Amino acid sequence: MSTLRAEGLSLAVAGRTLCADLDLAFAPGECWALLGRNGAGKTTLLHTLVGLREPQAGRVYYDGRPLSQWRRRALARHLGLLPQDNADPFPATVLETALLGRHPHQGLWAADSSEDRALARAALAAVDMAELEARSVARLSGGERRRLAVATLLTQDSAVLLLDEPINHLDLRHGVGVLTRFRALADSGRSVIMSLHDPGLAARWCDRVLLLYGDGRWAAGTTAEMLTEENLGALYGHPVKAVAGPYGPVFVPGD
Amino acid sequence: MTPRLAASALLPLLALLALASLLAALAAGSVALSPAELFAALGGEPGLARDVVLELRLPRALTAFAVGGLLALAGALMQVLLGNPLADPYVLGVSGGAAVGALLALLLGVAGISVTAGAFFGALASIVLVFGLAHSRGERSPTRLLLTGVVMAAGWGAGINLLLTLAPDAPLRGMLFWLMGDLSQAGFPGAGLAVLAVGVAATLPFARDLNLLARGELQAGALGVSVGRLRLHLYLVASLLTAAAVTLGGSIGFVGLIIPHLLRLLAGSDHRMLLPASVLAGGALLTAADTLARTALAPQQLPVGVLTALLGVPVFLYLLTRSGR
Repeated sequence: MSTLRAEGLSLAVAGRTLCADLDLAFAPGECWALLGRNGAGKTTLLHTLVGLREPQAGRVYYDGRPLSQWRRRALARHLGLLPQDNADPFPATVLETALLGRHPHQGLWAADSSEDRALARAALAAVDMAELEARSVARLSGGERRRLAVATLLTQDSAVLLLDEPINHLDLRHGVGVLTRFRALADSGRSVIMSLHDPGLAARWCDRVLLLYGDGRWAAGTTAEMLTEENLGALYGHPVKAVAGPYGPVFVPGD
Repeated sequence: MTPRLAASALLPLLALLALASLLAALAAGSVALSPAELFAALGGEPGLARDVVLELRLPRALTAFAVGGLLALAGALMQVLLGNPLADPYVLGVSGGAAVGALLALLLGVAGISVTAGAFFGALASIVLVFGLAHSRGERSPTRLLLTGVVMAAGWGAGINLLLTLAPDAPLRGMLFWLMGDLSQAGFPGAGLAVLAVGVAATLPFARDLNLLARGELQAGALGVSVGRLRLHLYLVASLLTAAAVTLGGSIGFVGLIIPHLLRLLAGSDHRMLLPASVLAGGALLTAADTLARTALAPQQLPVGVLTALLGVPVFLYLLTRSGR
């Protein structure tokens, strides 16, 4: 499998540098958590890594080639993004929407093959939505929409998965289900990068962490190295206490 | 959810409907023809029937079909472009520009081809202005495009009112008719049909990409669509289709809004099916409406735009309330 790599990457929004000189490789089999305050550049970084946004400076490489040299469609067979929000102004069913993930793999006139359908149905089953495949997306709840977006990404079947707050809107059971699923995908050799707001979840489901301070500084390393009271306190601008939990550290806000 | 029609059944059904609307348009009128007489006339048997059918009714019916198809196709594209199911071909002010151009020509007392040219250049000016202004600072969002278009449309609307106020009585009736949509001036239908064919050929290869763009730019980009290029392409094609439709038939409302929406409710949002289906259904609707417009209160001709609205509004509202349940 091939690696997604940032080289000298600088991100700026409205003239403000969020992240400077990021050099980092997201190797196959690694599960990364992306932590930072609101507006620190997590979404901007994910969009840049997937090639939907031009960096201020530096480059992103996949398989040794700069993203700008890839054709958009070919790239979409390797890099998948779970956007923070999805729009669905037009009527469509749940299964049709999940099948959109097959788009980069299909020819213009190709009808969805039985394999495509099987993949989409398996993805829907993975997010507990097998029963809802004929339902209109307009009639889904917020959490169901989120799970449908996850299913669409799973259907895309990409080697790198970039997830923008994957457990937004999800209840505890489905949140855990989604995180476990992505962790398993990383263990099977994919690269997973997800932005999260709970360092405890990062400690439990990810093995590496990228901290974005939002002022150009960043830090990356293993969860044990990165997830310290000191780092997190500075990251969020609020004291954080680490507490030992049954499955590893849990982080609670301090005074 | 309303039961879905299979795409494979929908297209042949709509093709039959379109054919039926064209045949009805050829047969109906002050000289009503039986099917046998109609086919004899179409076969070229000399006589009054042949002249009426081939020289009067056929060009008008084909123009109506082309304009309906153009509007419905442009509507389907605009809705995806703006991410809004309520967008129609006129929302970005193209028809306003065309109307100002055409009314100016009518006001100056020129007729025929100059009115057409006025409408076309008015539409073109509007397209260039809206796109130039919406993109002037590099930021391209559907909202910005929509706002620019809506503001331009409002400006054109004021221009239209100004021209109507200044107009002497003689050209006023013609101007009002033009504004309400009027196919009685239809001459050679080849141009409209050619633009329609080009429009279909230029958009059908992107039908799959449209399915993704309908889910938002980000999702489309992440799934392999070159969003910026596609949006520019869609804007230009949809605007030119609208310009052609307005030039040929004046501003005819509701076809571009209702037809794509209705088809989405009936058969889903796969644009590989939706685009050709919109062309057929839009063409059939406008052909039928125009036939009704010239026969319902004959010899008085009604503006076809009034009829499309009268037919379209109840159907649309019925479907909307039914599907909302």
